[in-house]
Amino acid sequence: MASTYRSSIQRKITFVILTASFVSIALTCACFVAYEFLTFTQRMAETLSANAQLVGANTTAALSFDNKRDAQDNLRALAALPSVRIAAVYDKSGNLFATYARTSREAPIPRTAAQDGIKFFSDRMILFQPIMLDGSRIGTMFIESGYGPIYSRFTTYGFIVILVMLGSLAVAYLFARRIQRKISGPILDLADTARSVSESRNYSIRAKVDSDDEIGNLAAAFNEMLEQIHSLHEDLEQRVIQRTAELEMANKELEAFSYSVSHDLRAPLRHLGGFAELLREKCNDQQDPNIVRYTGIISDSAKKMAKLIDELLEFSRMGRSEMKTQVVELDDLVAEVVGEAKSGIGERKISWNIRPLAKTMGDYAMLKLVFQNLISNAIKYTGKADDAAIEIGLVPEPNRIVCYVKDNGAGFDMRFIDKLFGVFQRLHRLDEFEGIGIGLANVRRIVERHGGKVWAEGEVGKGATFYVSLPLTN
Amino acid sequence: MDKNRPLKRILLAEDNENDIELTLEAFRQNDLGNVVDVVRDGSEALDYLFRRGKFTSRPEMEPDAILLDIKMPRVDGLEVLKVLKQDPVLKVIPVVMLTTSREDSDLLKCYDYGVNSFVVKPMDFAEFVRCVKTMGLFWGALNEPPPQKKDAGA
Repeated sequence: MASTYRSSIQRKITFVILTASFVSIALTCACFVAYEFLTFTQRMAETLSANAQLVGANTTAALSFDNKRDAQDNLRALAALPSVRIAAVYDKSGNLFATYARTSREAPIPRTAAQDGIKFFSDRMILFQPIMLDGSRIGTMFIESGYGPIYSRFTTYGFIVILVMLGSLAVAYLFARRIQRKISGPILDLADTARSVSESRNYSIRAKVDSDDEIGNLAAAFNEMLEQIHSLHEDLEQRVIQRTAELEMANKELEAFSYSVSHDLRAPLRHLGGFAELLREKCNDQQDPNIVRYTGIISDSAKKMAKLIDELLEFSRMGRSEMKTQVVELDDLVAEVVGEAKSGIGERKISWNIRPLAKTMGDYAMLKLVFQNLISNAIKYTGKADDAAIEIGLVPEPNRIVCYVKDNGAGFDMRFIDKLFGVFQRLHRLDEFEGIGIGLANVRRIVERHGGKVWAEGEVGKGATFYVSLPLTN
Repeated sequence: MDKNRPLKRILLAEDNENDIELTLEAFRQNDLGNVVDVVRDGSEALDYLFRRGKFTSRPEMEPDAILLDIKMPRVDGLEVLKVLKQDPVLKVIPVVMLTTSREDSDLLKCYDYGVNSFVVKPMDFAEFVRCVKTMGLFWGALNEPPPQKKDAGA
């Protein structure tokens, strides 16, 4: 890639220089040739006219004495001029008097004299010129000449022009290579710098600035930009480090907090329960049955609060603990969870409909907790339904996996959907359905840590459907 | 083999009075008629074990087992365990961590230092009583103590 890039700009500059040189040399040569052509033609015409004058002067005696033979002989002298093809002498009244033709294949000679002067045609020039004697006209001289000398001369010129052009283009090429390096060199340097910066991500590299023209300005601006990126980059890294440290600190504090919660809050509760128990044992022989009931409530409440603390700590741990991501076969996972659930429902009859699921990426233990919560909820809330049915399946979607757990149980009012996934938020009273309201909060936290979403649909008395989206395996 | 050999002497390191009372009550309910020496923090536990300070003249016999709470003022249970398990003589005494909560970090450290058992006190008192009974049976009857200790005790 680098070499085509390199050759491209160098070739373009060389091409521009060569084209400009070629055009200027070609124009110069054309002007020169045109000028030469005009002067040469002019000179040839003058030579022709002089020769006509000469031959005409020699022919005056022949014309005066009507001696056609002499005139013929005189005309033959024109054989010395190779370009003259035909020639003729006309008498005073313009009638043909004597003729000359270089070869027998020449064009016909005009029968009468035409107007004086020289005329140029594409392949020849013709000349009519008066023959004078003592100031009066006694006849007309005619000569037709080819362009032979011009052709041969201009063939030579052509060769010279081509040689000159080739020579100057060669010289121009050598110069162009030198000059283009001056222009392309800094550009290529800049391009190299840009490439190595983007490849190595080392923002401390700088481009060379060795001129104060536009390219120099470009390199300086580029360097300035790098400077900014460099400082932004460092700033960003600094901020990431700082933020990470803050997060780690917060996490540590949270850990210390939960450690202390788990120790310091549980101990008094245990004491509460323990001493309530001892109190009940001591009061067993008392008449008032309320004493036994009250101490029972105290120890039950203490146990319940301990459970709340445990669940809350587990919830907080779920948000902090490290995820061990692997490929998880949801079919196996759900089968395992349903198997465990079935053994825990005793005599209850539930019709299970478990459809084929898919593979996803995630932490097996966490995902298991998701389905444990959803499935145990489905079992719990179908507890009062006559023919409990639970369905687990997949909603076909292209870019993610969407599982659903559907039941025909108590359902919920869609108006309270916002509270469904909140911590310690419940949509049912304790005397209706047991629970502390942390299961779905856990489900949401786990699924969100997997980059997925949870949502639900429900209707009071008709049942609920919970949806979980999870990533595809890559 | 002496199957019904009771634990003769136990060291309980616990800072909380309520916990001490409940633990002793659990021992009483299980008729584990042993001597329970109670120390109130980690530094006292170390003084006891190394016979320093007010424990300079305590009886010759080493405890059959040590029940250690983790969270104690001054020197915590982990520190006591660490020092204890590095001592060539005292390291053979079985140490049971008896704690309120189950923290992975604590578990890892305790087993790293060479703890013999880690027990989380159940919330329910009746369960705690059963738990103490099990411990008494295990360390007192089922488990074979190290020979040196037996010799020292005899």
